[in-house]
Amino acid sequence: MGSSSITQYLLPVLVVLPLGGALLIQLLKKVSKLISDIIANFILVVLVVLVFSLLNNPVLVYKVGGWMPVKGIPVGIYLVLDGLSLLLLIIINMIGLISLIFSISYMNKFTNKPLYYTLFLLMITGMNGVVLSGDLFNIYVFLEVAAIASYSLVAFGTEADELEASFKYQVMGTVASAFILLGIIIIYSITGTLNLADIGRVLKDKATETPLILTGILFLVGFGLKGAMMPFHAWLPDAHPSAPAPISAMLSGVLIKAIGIYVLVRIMFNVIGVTPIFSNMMLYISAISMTAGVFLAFAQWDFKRLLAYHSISQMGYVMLGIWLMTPLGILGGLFHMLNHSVFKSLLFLNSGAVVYGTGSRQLKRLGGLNQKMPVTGGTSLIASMSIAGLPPFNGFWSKLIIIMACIQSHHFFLAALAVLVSIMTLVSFLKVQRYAFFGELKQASKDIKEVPFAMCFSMILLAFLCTTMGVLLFPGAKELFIDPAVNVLLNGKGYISLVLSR
Amino acid sequence: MDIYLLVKTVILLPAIGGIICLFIPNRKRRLIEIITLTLIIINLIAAVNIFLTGNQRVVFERFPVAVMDMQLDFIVDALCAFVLIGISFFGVVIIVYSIGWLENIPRLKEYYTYILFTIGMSSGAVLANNFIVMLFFFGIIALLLYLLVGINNGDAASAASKKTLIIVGSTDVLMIIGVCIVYYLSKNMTISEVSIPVNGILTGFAFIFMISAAFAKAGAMPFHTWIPSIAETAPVSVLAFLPASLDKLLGIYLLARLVLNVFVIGTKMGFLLMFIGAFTIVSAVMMALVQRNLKKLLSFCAISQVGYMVLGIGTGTPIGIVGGLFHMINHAIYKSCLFLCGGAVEKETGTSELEKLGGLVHFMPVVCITCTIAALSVSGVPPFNGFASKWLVYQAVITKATATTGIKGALLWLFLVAAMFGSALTLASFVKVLHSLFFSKKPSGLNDIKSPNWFIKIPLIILALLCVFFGIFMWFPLKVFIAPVLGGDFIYFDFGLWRPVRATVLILISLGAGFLIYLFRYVRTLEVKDVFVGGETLDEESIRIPGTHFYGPIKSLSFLKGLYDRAENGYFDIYNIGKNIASNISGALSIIHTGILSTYLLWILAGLVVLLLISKLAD
Repeated sequence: MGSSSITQYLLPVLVVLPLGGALLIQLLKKVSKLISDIIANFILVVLVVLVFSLLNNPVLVYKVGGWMPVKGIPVGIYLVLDGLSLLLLIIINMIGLISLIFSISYMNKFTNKPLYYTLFLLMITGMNGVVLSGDLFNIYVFLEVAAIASYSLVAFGTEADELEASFKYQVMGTVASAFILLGIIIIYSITGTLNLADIGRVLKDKATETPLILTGILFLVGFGLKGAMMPFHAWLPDAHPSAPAPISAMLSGVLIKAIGIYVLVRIMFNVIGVTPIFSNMMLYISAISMTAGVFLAFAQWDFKRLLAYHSISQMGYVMLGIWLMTPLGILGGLFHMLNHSVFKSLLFLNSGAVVYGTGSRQLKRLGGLNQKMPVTGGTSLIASMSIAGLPPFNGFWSKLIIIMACIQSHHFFLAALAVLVSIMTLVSFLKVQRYAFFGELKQASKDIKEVPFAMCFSMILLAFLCTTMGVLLFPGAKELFIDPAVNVLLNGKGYISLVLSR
Repeated sequence: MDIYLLVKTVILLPAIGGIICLFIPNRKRRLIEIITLTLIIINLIAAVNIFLTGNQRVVFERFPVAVMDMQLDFIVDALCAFVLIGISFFGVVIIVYSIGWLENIPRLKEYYTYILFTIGMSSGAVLANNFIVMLFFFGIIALLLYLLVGINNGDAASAASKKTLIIVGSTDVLMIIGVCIVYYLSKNMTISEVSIPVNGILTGFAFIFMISAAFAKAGAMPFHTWIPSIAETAPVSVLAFLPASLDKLLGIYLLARLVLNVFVIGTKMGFLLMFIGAFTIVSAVMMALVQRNLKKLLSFCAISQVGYMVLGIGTGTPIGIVGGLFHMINHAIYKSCLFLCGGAVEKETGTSELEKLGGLVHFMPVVCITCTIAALSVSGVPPFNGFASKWLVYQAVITKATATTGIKGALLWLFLVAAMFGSALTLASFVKVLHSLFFSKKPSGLNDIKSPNWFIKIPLIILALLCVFFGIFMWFPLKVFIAPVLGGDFIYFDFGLWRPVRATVLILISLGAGFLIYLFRYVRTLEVKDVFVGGETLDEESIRIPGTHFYGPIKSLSFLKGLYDRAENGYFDIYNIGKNIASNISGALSIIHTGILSTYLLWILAGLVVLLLISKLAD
């Protein structure tokens, strides 16, 4: 074994545990009604503890089955943990746990709760697998696990519009997978290997050759679709609102990052290498997503649909920061990704609480909910202000860094656009506040009550994170959480030797 | 006392108090009020102490420096120390007033919490010496403004508060880009160490973005429209505290800081400021003139007065800046007094529609006297404080105009005329207010009016006395508070012909003479006849002349009619303009989202092809 540390053996646990839990729930679901709640939440608690125990580690590599490299060429499957994967793992498992706590009460109105938990855990399995895989084909497999679980979860309510949304999502998701697979085939035909580090080693500096440019574009389209970049975003405004609220939170808060942005960034930065044309292309795609997404959200009156369009816009922000490719930009982009997962999942949970309380998510039919649902109202205000980028909430810090990074790298127009988007985000979330939470209480909602404890608890937890996550920028926390991830991207192809030497 | 402790006190103590208030139930109202008042008085004492300590840097070095040189760095200088006292002083006034004035609203404890937080965060914003720290505090202030304005439930209140945060918050975001450009150019986040000449496109944009935040807070055009919108829905105490006093202090503070410290503005930008100032004065007062609601009228007038401050600071001359800052503090005094008088009237009569009011001089003499004093101040009638500061602004514009030749010089004279004309129109609108409220005949519907309680009257009296004091003894605030801002000596300023004390004596003598004449007339017996038309005696109601009719004809003047109609429909409102543009863009984008799967799949293919083409062609 290359590394002397024992911690590398934790890596497969992160994938196997939720997978096992998913099966276990199906086996034991007859025993008791509570059993699925307990198993699912317990597993996520364990996962969160594991992930946080992995903080402050060097790069860890686990070789599945103990297949050692032959003459320095990897033959087995690698699981690789570095700063970037860890950041994603934190997002996936933390938001996963909070959404699950929310589900305990929220999912009571659906019939088949054990099935829901099974699919949920499969989605977690897939995402943990994607971010840990050091191998292109395994990324693809785990990505499909997560994606297929999410297709079924979108259709979980089995109403007509939910089925339609899921169908569209499946078709477009499959198209994306096809492009990704095609890209993988091309890579394999060139290099004869699927291990990420090994691919990088074989390719060296060939990023400008035509087949690799084609592969880059294929990955851009494929992962761009999974990550809801314009013009490949069209599935998202249907799919995300149709799912049950905690799943919407997972999809918008986590899934599009883990199987969209993360993989694209990982492959392009660490393996293939970024050409200037590619990064410029990404910058403009991000700018388009960011701007068009927010203007589309502006016209929405459906609470969840509005949130979904904002996900497109905010992902544009994240990508804008990352693809500036300056230290500050990457810091801002990754930090915004972390922040977005927190406030956007909170907003979706808020929308779930509103639906739970009033039965409606049409903003025009709501009003004055602050009087009846103070926790939902208060936390939604915090989340709205976070996404709109008002201090002291987390969104302020990351947007500030991204705008600053744009200016520092002479992209004045993009900075102006980012500011415009920020203003429009503020406008549309003030609309949500004004119509749903402030204003006159509607006659129909005179008798509503605040949602149950489990739901309140998860919303308060996320609101607390929104308020305090600015501290991650200060020395101490920054080195622990964000800098390792930033360094992975700044290090670029240094990733290859780091992995191969283990 | 230790300056570090003092700075911590003014920023954190109100915030801690605010959090404590949140945990006290609404029915223990007196307890909340006692805590709030005590803390705010401590805050005032601390602020005075900071003022007396003099200029210092306060850097919390144990607090780590985060990305982009963000550091907890504060500065005490003449400018912020005096604004700091202003913040705490108006905090005390408003809280005393709220004790007597505020009804038992459902969100009572939140109200006091937000007020306390606003005071703490404003102190932070004023003291901040690091751009990010400043942005941080200003952002929280905007959020608190939103919460305070929307403290009452209801659709109108929430719509108005939404508009407020959209305008103020957006300009805060604009300020972010300004700060980023400043940092990009100077590589420094410390406010006191930055000095950038405005000479190119980039610096021009940075300056305009940053002053737009100052304008939105102070309520200068074109970012003023939130103030009239909240006038009818927010509680009067909030109006008196935020748009009338605190946000003026903050906005003009920011403007002064930017003009004096961060940027070195050339003649072009100075001219732009002066133009905005003059334009704001006239156009806002024209709107004030025709308002029928007291609070709305006051809010338009508050916008108009910002024009003097911007005009004064825009001249860039010492006397102009002194005049602008002096007008800022004077305006905060008389305008909050006016709003609070309006609140007293509204509380006792239940309305603020001028048409429904009248004859209140018999019922609330204290309110009448204080309101008259404040109204004369705002109209720039000597010897009150409004005149003193307007006089300085006039002097500055005259000095500037005589030194400038050509078309610019002519325009400067025009600005002077605009400022004076605006002052006259302000007087006209306040004649209308005073007549409608106090001196016209009482409408028949208005009965059983009591005089307001002492918690309401004491703040009014204090503010009115300050109006008089700052007017007659104008050397005192100028020497103590404002002259140190420029580091200059007070004697240095040329006040022209104005000698306030001498003039006051003369005015008092003439008033005395007038009173004698009045007495002389009074001793003669007069015959009182009922009003009659064609032999028929008219009833009381039909011979009542409400003040709202005073300037009706202005609206129907042909060249103004169109403008007035459009202005009342929000045609010039930057908020509505922005909304229309955004709706059009989003409408166009929505049309292409047909919901048809095959179309969406086509987009994917089209996207792929376009990207391939780009990467091949760019090769």
